[in-house]
This record gives sequence, C-alpha cells and structure tokens, in this order.
Amino acid sequence: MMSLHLKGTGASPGIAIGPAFVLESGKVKIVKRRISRSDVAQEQERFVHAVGVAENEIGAILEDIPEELKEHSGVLKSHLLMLKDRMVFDRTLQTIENDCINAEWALDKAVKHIHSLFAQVKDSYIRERMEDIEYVVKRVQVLLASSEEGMNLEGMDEPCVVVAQELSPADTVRMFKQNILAFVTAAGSRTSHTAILARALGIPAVVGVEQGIRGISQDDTIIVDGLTGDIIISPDDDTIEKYTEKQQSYIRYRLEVIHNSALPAETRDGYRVKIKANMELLEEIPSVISHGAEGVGLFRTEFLYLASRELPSEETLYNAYREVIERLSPYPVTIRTLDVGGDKFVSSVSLDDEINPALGLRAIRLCLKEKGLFWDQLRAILRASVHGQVRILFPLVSGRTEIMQVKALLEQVKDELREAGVPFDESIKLGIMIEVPSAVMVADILAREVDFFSIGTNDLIQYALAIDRVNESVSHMYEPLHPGVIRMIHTSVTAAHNAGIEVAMCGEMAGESMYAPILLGMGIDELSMNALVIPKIKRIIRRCVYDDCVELVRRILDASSGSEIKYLLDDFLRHHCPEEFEPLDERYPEFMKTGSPLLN
Amino acid sequence: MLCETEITILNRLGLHARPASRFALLASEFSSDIYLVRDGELVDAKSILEILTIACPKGTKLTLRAEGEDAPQAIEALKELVAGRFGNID
Repeated sequence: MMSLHLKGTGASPGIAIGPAFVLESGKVKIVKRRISRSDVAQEQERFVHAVGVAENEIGAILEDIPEELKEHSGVLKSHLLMLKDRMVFDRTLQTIENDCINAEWALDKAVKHIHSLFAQVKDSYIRERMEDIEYVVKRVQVLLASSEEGMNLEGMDEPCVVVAQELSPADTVRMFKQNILAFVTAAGSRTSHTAILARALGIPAVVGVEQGIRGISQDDTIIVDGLTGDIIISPDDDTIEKYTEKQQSYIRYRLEVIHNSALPAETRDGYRVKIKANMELLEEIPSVISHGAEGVGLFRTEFLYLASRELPSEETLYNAYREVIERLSPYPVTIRTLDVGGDKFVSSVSLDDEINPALGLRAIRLCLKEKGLFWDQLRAILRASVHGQVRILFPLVSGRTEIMQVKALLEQVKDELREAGVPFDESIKLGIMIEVPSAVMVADILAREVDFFSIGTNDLIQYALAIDRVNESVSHMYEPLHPGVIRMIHTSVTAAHNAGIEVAMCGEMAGESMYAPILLGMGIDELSMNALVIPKIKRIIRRCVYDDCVELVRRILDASSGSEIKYLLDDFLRHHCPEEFEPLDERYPEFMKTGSPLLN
Repeated sequence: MLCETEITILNRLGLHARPASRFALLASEFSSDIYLVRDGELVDAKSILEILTIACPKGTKLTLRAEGEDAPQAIEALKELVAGRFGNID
C-alpha cells in the first residue's frame, strides 16, 4: 500500500500512531428507512415528541433571557414558529404517512423542499434565514437520532486517531471520555477549541489540513506529529520505527520539563515572581496544576457565551466559576469579565456590523451597555467568591470614568446580594487590564482606584503601534520590543508600584521566555501564561540574577529602536543563560528545529 | 365569509424574518384561512416560511385574503399590524 503524506498546522505537540476513526463531517447522520403502515402512528408520535422537546428547550431559554435583551429574543421566537410551521411540521407528519418512511427521512424531505423554494428568493437576507431553519431542524434530527440507537461515537472502543472535518467544542468535550490518541481536523487553527482542549490534555493534534482529509479512510494506520503538523497515512515499517523513536524522546523531554515545573520561580539572588496560568475551559485545570501554576492569572469567561446561541444563565456561570475556584484552591483565580465584540463573535448578543471592531463596542464598553448581561456575570462571580480566592479583572478600560461606572454597578450588585442574604467576599480585589494606550498615560490616576493592574500586551501593542497583526502587509511591524511598547509597560509598572498596588502581565509577552529578563527587571509581580510554557519560563527565571535584569532594563529604556533593544537582550541572554538556549537543542534537535511556538 | 384587502409593506427592511413571524403569529390567532397573494402567487399567511418565500421588500403591494367566521376581524388586525410597520421593530 502506498503511504500518503498530508500537512496541517501542529496544534498540540506529541506523536501518535494508530488506527484512524473518521467522523462524518460534523453532520448528524440521517438514518433513512421504510416503515410499515402499522408503525405510521408511532413514528408520527416520535416526531411530535422530538419537536416538543426542541420547543421546550427554546422556551426555557426564552424565559431566561434578561429584560434588557428581550429585543433579541425575536430570533428564538421565529425558531419556535418554524418548528411548528406547516411546511415543516404538518408536511413531515404527512410524508411519514404517505410515503411510509421514518421521521428523520420525512423531515429531511420537508427541509429539502423548503430549501428549493428559498433558493429562488432574490433577497439574500431572507435566503440566509435557511440557516435558522437548518439550525432548528438539526436540533430535532439530533433528538430523533438519540432516541434511536447508533450515535456516531459508538464503535470508538479501541484507542484511535479521531479524524473529522471540524469538531464543535461540545463534540470535542464529549469525545474526551473516549480513548483518543490524537485529533486531526481539516478546519481549525491553533486557537480553535479543539486545539486548546487537546493541548490541555496533552493529546497530539493537527488542524487546518490543507489538502483536506478525504485521503484518510476508516481504520487506516496513521501517524500524527502534533508539533510539525505532519500526517502520514499507511506508513511503511521504517517510518513507523522512526516515529516510535521520536515519540519516546518526546515523552522523555516532557517528563524533564514537568519535573522542573514544581520548582519556584526565583532568581539566583532570591527575587521571587508569581507564575500563573491563563485558562478558559474547565478541562484545562489539570494541565494548569501539573505545569506548576501558582493560580490562574487570567480566567477568560467568553467560552460559556460562545458555546451556545443563547446567553448562559447566572446559575450556569456560577457553577463554572465555582468549579474553577474550588479546584484551584488555595491558589487564587483572577476572573476577567466578558471580553467580546471586536474579533470574537457571540451569537447570543447581537451586535451590529462594525467597520472597525477593534475600536468598537467590545469588552467593558459592551458590558456597560448591556447591563443585564454584565449584572448576571458580576452576581455569579461574587457568589462564587466565597469558595476560594477570587479577583475580578475588567478588560479594555480606557480611563477613570469607566472604572467609576463599573465600581458603582458592582456596588449595586453587592447591595442586592446583601439584601438577599447571599454571601460573597466583601474584600474582593478589583483590577483592570492595561491594554489601551490612554490607560497607560493615566495609569497613576487609575492605580488609585483599583487593587491591581494586569497588562494585556497583545492589544496594547496593536493599539500603541497601530498595527493589525492579522494584516499581512503590516504584521512584520508588530514589535513587542519597540521602545514605545517597552516604555508603556515600564510606565504602567511604575505607576502601580508608586500607588502600592501589584502589577501582572497576562499577554503573550509574559509567556515568551526571551522577554522574561526584561519583565523581571521592570519589577512585574506576576506573569500569567499558557500553562504549557510555565516550566520553561520558571527555568529561565531560575537562571537569572535580579540585579542584572534591573541593569538590562536601565539600558533598554535608553535604547532608540526595537533592533537596538533586541541586540541588548540577545547579548544578555548569551551571557546569562547560555545553557538555556543550547543544551536542549542538542538533546532534542528534532523538536528544536521546528521552531514551533508550542515548545516555547 | 370571504374578505379581501390590499396592503403595502411599509417597513424599511420589508417582510423579513421578524415581521413575518409577527404576521404569522397574529394570523394564527384566527380560525379563518388566511392567505397572502403576490403577483398571483398564494401563500398561507399562518406559515412564516411560506411568507418568507414570497420575499416582500418595502413598497410591495399584496392582497390579504381571509375566509371564515372571523375573516373581517382577521383582516382588520393584520392590516393594522402592517400599517403600524409591525410595531417599528427594525
């Protein structure tokens, strides 16, 4: 058999060798079968029941929609109407009876008919409503399928490599209960949820396979290299042997890294920094703990809003927060309030199209506008605060007015809880993200109003340099070491310390090992990063001398360009931690050669 | 009883999803059979999907037809909904 080579993006490091388990392209499999005349009534009853369940689900969501968002409930109401529309409901019942076929098939026929009518509509907005119909119908199809035997995950008994067009977060989570060697998806990027989950659980994953996954058949032997993005189908024996060796040396490498993770992040001269993890999903908690994080410095709360089309209830939020807080206890958890708008789209909050979303209604601005949504989240966080150590972090604050508005609102929420006798941490600490240049300029004023800062470098650099990283014509000018950026970070740290508050960094810069000496020298109190890179950052810090770092920063602040700063930094690293940038390369040349950010 | 009247869609975005769903919802409250006719094409006014398939932008003229006991009341209520631009929802 000829072996076949595919290339994708390495999304979670590690090597897997095993049989492929190919999932249908994210669609519900519609079982089509004929039924006898005597079963018609029963089949119709099964359909009516499934529609009823779907209706109740939507109804429950509608009841939970807060008053302020009532105007957005129209979409859901139209879904209810569509479910019972005679073109869907009556027609399916009729088709079951006339054609003697099962409900799934009949419903599918009804949808195809609607599809053909909609295809002729000239108005593109109305034509797109077909998506709504497909959404509600898919829900009914899923309900129908689950009432019969044979969900598509059955048969996944042996350890296998899951291959799919794409996986929804729900699919991915459901599958972790199974015995999975690796994930391969044709769609997706390093930041898609499948990738995040796979990394959290240490399962290799390759996403965004250019040639697609059609070349992979059920039970093909397949090698997945989650670091390089290589996929080899039906490999020969030599290749299997080569990859088995590579697999072994990767496992040794990981064990060595993890061994280091339990040590404190302390410089040779005894200066200690807090190292925490950024996280979003509950599934990441074990990885956060095993990689040696001293708490969570950035708990992103977008996932629950992105996971469904409806707003999560206060109870859902509370339960999720409580779980994270309890499982991390006694370590603290910093919860960042909803940071959406801009590039991240939340289907449960309808936003008008914005020409310039990065400068638009997002994060704290959106929360101060959609107060009902914000209220629920603040209540949930406060209620959860009694279960451990919690801090609240507000994103995208640009000045004092916003802080005052947020604090006033938070007081109202606290009053409501007090009146209801609901306990919460009365001394809960409040912080703001420093990621808008204006916030840096008035950092001394802001520092008087909050308990801590957390510098978000990704947005800060983008706004400070006016560079859109996604725009290929200018992305090379996205320079974390630009003197303008370095000075902004320095100004923020100084302002915080002058006011006697702590300052953290939770952007990507915090997790890049080469920047660690600069951040140490500036006196940042806490670095929060992807859990996977914690062992490496700790090791770098343990090689550094604090006084040398302070001296490095002094020289860097005088530098006139990014390349000059880069030169000073490279020189420093060569002299102070040469072993950090070489020996590993010798021992694990295979991994170092890839230059993958996954190994940072 | 059969009643008929001419209506004109006045709201900015035409008879799109939300107005159509309000229309279908209100029509469903009556026992009469209710239809919308556009250029000779007749659809069930109680079906949001059928209403959507005749795609009516602003300015479209339609015939509203009701047949049944409460036909006059149905025509009256639906006419008012259309004239009031469906409660100005867009």
